[in-house]
Amino acid sequence: MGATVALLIVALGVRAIPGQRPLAPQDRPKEERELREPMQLLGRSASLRVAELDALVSDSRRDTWLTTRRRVFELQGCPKLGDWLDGPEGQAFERTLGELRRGSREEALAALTLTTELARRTEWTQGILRKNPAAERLSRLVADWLRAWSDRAATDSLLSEPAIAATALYARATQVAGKRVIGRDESLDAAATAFLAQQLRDAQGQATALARTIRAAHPAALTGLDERDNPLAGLDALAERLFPGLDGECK
Amino acid sequence: MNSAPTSLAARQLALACALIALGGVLLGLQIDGNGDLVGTGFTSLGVGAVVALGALIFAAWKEPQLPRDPLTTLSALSGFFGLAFLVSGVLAPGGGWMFFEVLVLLFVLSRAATRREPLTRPAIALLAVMLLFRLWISYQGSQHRWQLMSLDVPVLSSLPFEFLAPIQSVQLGEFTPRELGFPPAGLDFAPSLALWAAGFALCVTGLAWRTHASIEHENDRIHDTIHELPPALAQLVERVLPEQQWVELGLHGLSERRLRKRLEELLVSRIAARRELERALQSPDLLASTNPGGFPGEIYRALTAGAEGPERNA
Repeated sequence: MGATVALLIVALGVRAIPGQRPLAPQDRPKEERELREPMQLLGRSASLRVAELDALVSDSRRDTWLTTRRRVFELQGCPKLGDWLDGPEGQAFERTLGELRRGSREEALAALTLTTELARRTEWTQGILRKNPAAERLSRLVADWLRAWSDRAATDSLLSEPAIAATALYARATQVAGKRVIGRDESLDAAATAFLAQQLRDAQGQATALARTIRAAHPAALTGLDERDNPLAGLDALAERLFPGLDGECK
Repeated sequence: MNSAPTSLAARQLALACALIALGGVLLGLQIDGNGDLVGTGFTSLGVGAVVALGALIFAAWKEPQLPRDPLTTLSALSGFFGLAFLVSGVLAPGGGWMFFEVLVLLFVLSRAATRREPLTRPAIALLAVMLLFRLWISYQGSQHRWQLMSLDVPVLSSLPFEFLAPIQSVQLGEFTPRELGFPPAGLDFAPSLALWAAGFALCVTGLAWRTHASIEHENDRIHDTIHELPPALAQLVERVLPEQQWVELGLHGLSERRLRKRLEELLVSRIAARRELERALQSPDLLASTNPGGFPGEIYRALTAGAEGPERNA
């Protein structure tokens, strides 16, 4: 009987247990040598800090990283993204991205830095006939990064913000790729929504760590994902905030 | 002979109360997005307590029963809190839905309580439906969908024009994140669903079992009181006042003094009624009153009083 009374008191008491607002991964204590403000490496002035990554890339990949970094950050003339990727430098770039994605979290950040900078320095708009696959190529590059890192990155103090940015950039690239003269390419939108659903929901349909991180930082970004019309609009709006003016025009 | 069944009923009652308390613990918890246990708050419990209090007041209005010992005190407390936990566990978390549900539950549970049964089958079915409704709302909220459902408008929804988006579908039963009272880190629906469903089942089972065990426990007490008499006399009392009628005769819940007085009154009135019946059955007037009269009546009288007739004539 005493145990029952105790249980009744517990049943009343547990209702007062407060919920804690989640601590954003980037706000957790950082290691001494950890990179600070990683989003600066994805911003307009990434060139000012990108050399900091040189020491964090493993020895075996450093040479290819240095070469590719110089090529991307010194790229001039706004070439078309698809054409550049099909050239020898682009092929080397894709190989380097693959290597970096398989590496450490600093190397994953380096891969995303290269992808974002390439998106800034190349043109990937749809063109007059709206059949330029460049935006789709860009979205695939980002999707490859998300597939490899979205689970781990969402709770990582270094990569959580870049993971949000990558998701937004994926949505932006898909939005541009899906534009048609009238309406949108619904099959492309459906494929993108299915891919994002894999990254943002677990097997039980509940939010993954990445989705929770995005919602905690940007509550409105995922609201329209289940809607049939323009499901990527929320993430696209987030991309506009994180990467102002990054729309494939290469201004 | 008496001690074993008495202790069994008492043990059953204590266990039923423990089930209710355990169910209350589970119904008071949820798992948030951080994976932590978070309380469901006191607002819904307060509303549940008001509904439970209303139902129990209706029940106690006719036949007030007061607990007499620690076990019956615990049972009464568990009955009240069990109903409060159950109601708070199934109510929609807020808004107009909750107000409507409170009214319906108050009506149904009050009717059930007046029958000395806090949970009738229709009441359990209603509570289960409300729990499903709450779970559905919570599921929608956990998916960041803030309506019961969204219906596409025929024809309009098939047109590929963005400017028609606001009228291409109809949102039914919209609610806000604030109404749901989710934890700050959001709700982890699957484990919370398991907690609430288990808590609901434990509370319902505990309340039903408690009702049954309370009756048994009271029967044991009345039985003990009757068996203070000499064994032959006690058996006679139990034949005149059979155990199956003790609830209807209002013997449950009485204090010891009132129980004895009530037993005396019932015994006196029943014995008197039996004696009166026996006297009536033995009286020849009883048969005469059923005589239809005339020729058949004379034959009937001759047959029933046949032994005395010829001798009297002679």
